[in-house]
Amino acid sequence: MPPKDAAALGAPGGGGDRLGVLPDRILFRVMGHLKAWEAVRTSMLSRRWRDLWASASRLDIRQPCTCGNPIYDHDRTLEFAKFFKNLLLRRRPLGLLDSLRLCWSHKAVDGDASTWIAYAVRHGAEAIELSGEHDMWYPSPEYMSFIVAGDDLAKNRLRILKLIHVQLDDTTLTQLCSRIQAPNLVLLRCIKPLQHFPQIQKMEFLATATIVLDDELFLPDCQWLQKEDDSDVNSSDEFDLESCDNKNNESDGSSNYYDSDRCYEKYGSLISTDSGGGGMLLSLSNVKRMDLLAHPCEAYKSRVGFHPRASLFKCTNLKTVNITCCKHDVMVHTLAEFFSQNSITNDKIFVHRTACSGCTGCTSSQAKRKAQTEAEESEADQVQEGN
Amino acid sequence: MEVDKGKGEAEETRKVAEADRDTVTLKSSDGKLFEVSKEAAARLSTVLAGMIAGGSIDDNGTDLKQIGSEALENVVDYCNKHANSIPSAALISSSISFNTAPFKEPEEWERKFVDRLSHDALFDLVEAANFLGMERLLDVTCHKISEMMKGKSPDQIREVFNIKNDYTKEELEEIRQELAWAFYDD
Repeated sequence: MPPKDAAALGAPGGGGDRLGVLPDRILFRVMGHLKAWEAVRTSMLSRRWRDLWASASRLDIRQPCTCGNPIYDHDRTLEFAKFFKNLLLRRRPLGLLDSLRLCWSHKAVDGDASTWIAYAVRHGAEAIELSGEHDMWYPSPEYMSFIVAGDDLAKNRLRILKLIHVQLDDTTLTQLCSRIQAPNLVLLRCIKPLQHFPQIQKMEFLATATIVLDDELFLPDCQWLQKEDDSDVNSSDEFDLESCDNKNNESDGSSNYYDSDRCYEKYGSLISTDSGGGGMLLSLSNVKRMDLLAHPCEAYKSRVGFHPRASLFKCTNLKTVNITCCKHDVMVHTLAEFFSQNSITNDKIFVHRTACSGCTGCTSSQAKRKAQTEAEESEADQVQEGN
Repeated sequence: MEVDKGKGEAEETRKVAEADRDTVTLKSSDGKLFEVSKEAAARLSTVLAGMIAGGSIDDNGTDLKQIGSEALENVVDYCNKHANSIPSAALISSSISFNTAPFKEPEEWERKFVDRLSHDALFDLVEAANFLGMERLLDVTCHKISEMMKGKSPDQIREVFNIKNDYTKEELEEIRQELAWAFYDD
């Protein structure tokens, strides 16, 4: 028998119902790992379970919508829409909702993404994840959904927000942050947003932000307000930017962890264009550690539009920069120059070279690659010497 | 030579003293003693953190009368494994400095850790984790329980967990109709 299912073999000697005797809050936690419809169906088990689902504090309603999909299934979509509507109506009205995972871009009068997010925020959600990853459409939540109406602003407990493949209009996050709608946010994850990139500001408690940008998804006129000229945008790279902001008022050295040598375990990203990463940097004034990671497949493409220029980037608290990229990536030079222009000395920069993972262009010009590699190695060495 | 030896001994004593400070001794209901990393215990258990901070830790073994030796061994094992699984564990605790980080799936070693447990040991561990305020361990164990429920019919779930069906046939039918919206085929 595989040890894997040791517990599932069930029928313990005593034969008692050890699950049913656990307190409600633990059963809620068990349910939180089930899909919402599985949780509802537990009411069939016994009287103990009858109404538990209606107060469950974590909801996982990830169900890709088939709209626009070649395998579109009308009946199925209607059934799910009905399910979502019912779930919303029949939950216990005053029950708190700690976390919501939503993957549902279907447009419906009741129960679309905005409705659910608004519901979650009103019910004290600490964590919300909205993903359009498996959908044809990008869900586009209205920023108003994130707002608790009237005097209840202080009740907004939102601390973790993950938006994955979500269409952002230019106000969503700006409004969310600048109007102090999510004052407690400590974790923000925004993966490949459509049209606009998030601007991080006034998020005092933000400790971790993971932003993955795909330039092809941005509107052509998408510009940062602070941006001046330098409009030679021609890269089409995909980058992750992972950064750790620390509290504004935290004094230097109070965050020992970030200073330790094992920081590089985390990954982050590279910065690309005027419309994307360059602007993103502007909003990271309190970052203490920055991890930059180049997407392996894109590493060899030319990346310009990222102009080392003093005063572009004010990040006085920055202590560590970790760069992970393909060993053929030339972007690291630009970055090194950029950071040194902005008073981030080389001893704060750690470079981690990965093996070439089949970048496009690596095989096209052997001679060029060789020259490039040599140049890189010398520079990389210089950078690392500082460590 | 003499001096060197002296240094070595001093080093040894210092190490021992450090080791003493780095662990906490816990005593199970049946009187067995377990050593656990103080740092991990404080990080993973709100109750132990409170006891450590409040100085109510007994060097000869802090009594945990509600927890049997098998469950406590698992708790201690989990804490020590967590202490060793740095840096990922450190990342979790530092970047998300609250215990209840939702959406955080169990890591591979955590899955293995609970997969090897018997049915009773799993529930003993849930109860111990609940008693000690170990949110992360509760999450991992509850995740395991939910895996045991997934994809099963109510009958199958009842069988796995020894749940007694105390509904009448009529009541069951009533619920099925009331919740028809949740019983489509998927």
